[in-house]
Amino acid sequence: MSANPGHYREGPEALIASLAARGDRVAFAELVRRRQAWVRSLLRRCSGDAHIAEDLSQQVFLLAWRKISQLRDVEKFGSWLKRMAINEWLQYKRKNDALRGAAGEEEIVESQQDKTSIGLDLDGAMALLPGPVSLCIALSYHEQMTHKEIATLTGIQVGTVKSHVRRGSARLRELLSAYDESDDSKDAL
Amino acid sequence: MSNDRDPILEAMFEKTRPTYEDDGYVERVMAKVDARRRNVMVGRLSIVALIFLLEFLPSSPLQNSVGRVTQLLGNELVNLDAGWMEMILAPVNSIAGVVGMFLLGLHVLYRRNVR
Repeated sequence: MSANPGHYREGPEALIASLAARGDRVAFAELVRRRQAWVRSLLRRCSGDAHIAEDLSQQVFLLAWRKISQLRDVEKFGSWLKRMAINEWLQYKRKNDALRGAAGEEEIVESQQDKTSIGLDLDGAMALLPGPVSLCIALSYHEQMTHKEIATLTGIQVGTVKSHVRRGSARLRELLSAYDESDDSKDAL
Repeated sequence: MSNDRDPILEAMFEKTRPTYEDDGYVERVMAKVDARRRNVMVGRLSIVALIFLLEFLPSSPLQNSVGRVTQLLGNELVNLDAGWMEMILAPVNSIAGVVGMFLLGLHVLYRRNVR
């Protein structure tokens, strides 16, 4: 017999996670409902592509379903899931970096002229950054995490995180320079 | 500024923060979860069915081959006569021990590369 999904709506996440860890499908669906926007937007920020983010986030939840029975501290479900999303992203990036060409960069420079597509341009610029750099940028700007928190979560040295954020920011500013030069840039933001 | 965030980029990120409506995402994920559960179940049933079939086929080839493999894995690699030495090295002084250490090594390598 399956539980009514409504019963889980108000429950604390740790309790729902512990039920899901025991194989409760409805509890797991509730976890997906609660965390999907967060995982998808993090991966969207890292990848700069809604379709890739959609695929990767689904893989993250599938992996979470497979491994949730091994989760020892259900209170840490959020950070466990975030680490899983980050690993999924880094693995994807490792596989695909070799295939990336220079074509993308030309596209972004052209599309900068369209001031209404700031979101698309930011996505495009993020997609041009190397995997660990885009990850540090996404965690810093999107998740508002400190360098130390990023280092702890990703296992990258604090100094390297700092340099990734600095280099990534400079690269993004360069790629999105049309927004700086525009008189309306302040208004647009 | 402790975290070196560029204020203009910060504003861009904030302005373009993705939002997700209820677009059937949960249902899509759960459909994949269910498909995986089905596959796992079918896989397990297939293995059980295969073992059952092999066990009850004439001359029971599974029993014979399992017996042979067990005998082979237990074979000593080096013949040690000293009692205490033999006891200490017993876990690794067999084909099973070597196979076990090889698999452990592969597992460690895999974990190191994946992480």
